[in-house]
Amino acid sequence: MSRLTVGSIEGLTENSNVISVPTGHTLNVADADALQIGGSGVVSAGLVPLVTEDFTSVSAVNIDDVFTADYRAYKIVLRQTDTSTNTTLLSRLRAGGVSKTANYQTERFYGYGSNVSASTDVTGTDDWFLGNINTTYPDRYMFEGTLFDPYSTNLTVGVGQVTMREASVFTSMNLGLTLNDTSLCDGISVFPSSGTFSGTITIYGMVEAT
Amino acid sequence: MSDQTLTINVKTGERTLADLTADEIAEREVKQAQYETMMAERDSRVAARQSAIEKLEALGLTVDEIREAFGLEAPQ
Repeated sequence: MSRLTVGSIEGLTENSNVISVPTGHTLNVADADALQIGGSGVVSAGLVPLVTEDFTSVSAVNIDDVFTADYRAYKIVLRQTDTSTNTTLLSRLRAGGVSKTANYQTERFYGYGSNVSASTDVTGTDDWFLGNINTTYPDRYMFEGTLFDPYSTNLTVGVGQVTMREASVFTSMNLGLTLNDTSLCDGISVFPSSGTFSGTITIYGMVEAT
Repeated sequence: MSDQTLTINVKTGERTLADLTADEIAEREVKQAQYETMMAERDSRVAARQSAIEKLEALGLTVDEIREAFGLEAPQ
């Protein structure tokens, strides 16, 4: 069994005060308060990466058991690299491995070239609308958003930003998101309306300042 | 191979691929029809806006006047 003796690091010569974790091994610090910077600054707030998944040619990505009582707010970053169809990208929260299919609201502020418009629930109230994707510019789509209280009996509220390219037009969206549901949602699904998509999704938990 | 969903369980690390169910396939057809309608409506609005700009310019309004009076950003 290997052992990491923290006390042996202190006092070593410059350039040797490094903790190395060989490939295939993990340094797991279960208690965030155990991480200290400079001997005085405690890591008590910030983003904790929970999952990063590269996916290829799937019709949906479901990420379960990611929202817990450990965090109230989560940051989600989605970069698409490919799609098989011109379509919409949608999202739903999940509870116990099952997607919730009602009581969503999406407010969209949409910039399409020099055209600007706003709309509510353009794809209905059974999902969140996260924008359009297309085969001509499949790698121009990115979503970044924050969800608050998905794992709570309170209303889940979120904000999001999207950049994408539709036909020859550069577009962007600001999104307001709510889910009025008292379930403890522990997961999220992202899916195109048709065909398959590829990309990377990362979810972070936000540690609240103490 | 049919389209498949990828499910990742963060707690266990398990990854599973599953074929779409018949209900999911039917729902996607409805959603795709929504997309087609949404795109047609957007293109119609953009065309109407461009038509309005061209008619105002034909009446002698300048690009600046169109922008100030109607909030329409004419292509320059």
